[in-house]
Amino acid sequence: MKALTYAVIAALALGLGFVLGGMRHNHGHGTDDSSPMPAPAFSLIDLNGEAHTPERYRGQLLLINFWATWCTPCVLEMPRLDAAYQQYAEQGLAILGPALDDSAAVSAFLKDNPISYPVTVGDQALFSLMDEFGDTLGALPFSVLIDRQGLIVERHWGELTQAQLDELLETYL
Amino acid sequence: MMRTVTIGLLALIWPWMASAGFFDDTRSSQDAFLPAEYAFRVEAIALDRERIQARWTIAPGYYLYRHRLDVAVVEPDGLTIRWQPPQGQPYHDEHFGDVEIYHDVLDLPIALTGQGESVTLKLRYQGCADAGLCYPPQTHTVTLDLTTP
Repeated sequence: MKALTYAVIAALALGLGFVLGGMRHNHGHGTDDSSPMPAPAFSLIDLNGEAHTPERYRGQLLLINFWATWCTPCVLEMPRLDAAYQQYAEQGLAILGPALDDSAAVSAFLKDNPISYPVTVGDQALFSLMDEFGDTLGALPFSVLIDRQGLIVERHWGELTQAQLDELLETYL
Repeated sequence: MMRTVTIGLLALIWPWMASAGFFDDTRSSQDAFLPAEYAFRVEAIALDRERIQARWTIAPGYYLYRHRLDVAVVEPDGLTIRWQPPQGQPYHDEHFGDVEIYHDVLDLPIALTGQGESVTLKLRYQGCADAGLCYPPQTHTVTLDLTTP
């Protein structure tokens, strides 16, 4: 009888543990998938009217940095990204900056804060694209690194520090 | 007895530790952040026919912008509201300049004027994580019964 009681307690504890574990995932803390997956198809038109597709960047390391002018950490990391782009473009680094914003706000921002890499503008469609890239938060900045074979090798939520950016470039460039 | 308790406790926490990523190295920066609905929990109650209390419970490490708060009546047309966001904590934002923000809890009293059995409000807010992530403007729509507060 005593053994049965202990077994029931252990089973209940086990069940509760799984419930707690499940709650954690429901709250959106899921871990990233470690195995690289191919980048989804996309076609983004930049402010100069040029189309950007995954095929265009095959053979290059592509960093897609989703941002917005209302997002302070996005604005803070942009000079860092731009400096990296200028330094490593010849070694195969490409950066694309889709802005979840309106065109007027982006144009005004870029006039005061020019950057070298192409920027595209969109709204709901870009949130959907973020989702296809594996985002579940819908928050910015969100960065995705696609390797020379077109595989997503890193996803990063939040501002990229210089040390984090350096580490990514050292690893994949 | 002790052995059973120990085994029971291990069984309790092991799945949680596994799901929390304690045993793997695949955790991403996504783990560090909450979805907006958990970072900023919003609720509202009708105190009586003339007063509503809205509350945002803000998770530790997150904040809301005072100037990005907005409340509007969706229906009925005959009801109007008055509200004044409380003073926040002074904060210098690289984008918005000198602003005020809220941490922890934001209580917002809303005064109602007019007739109606119920009211539907649209609460808009925007915030960020201290660790460098910002959420797009969020909207929460709530319908409150004014007859039985």
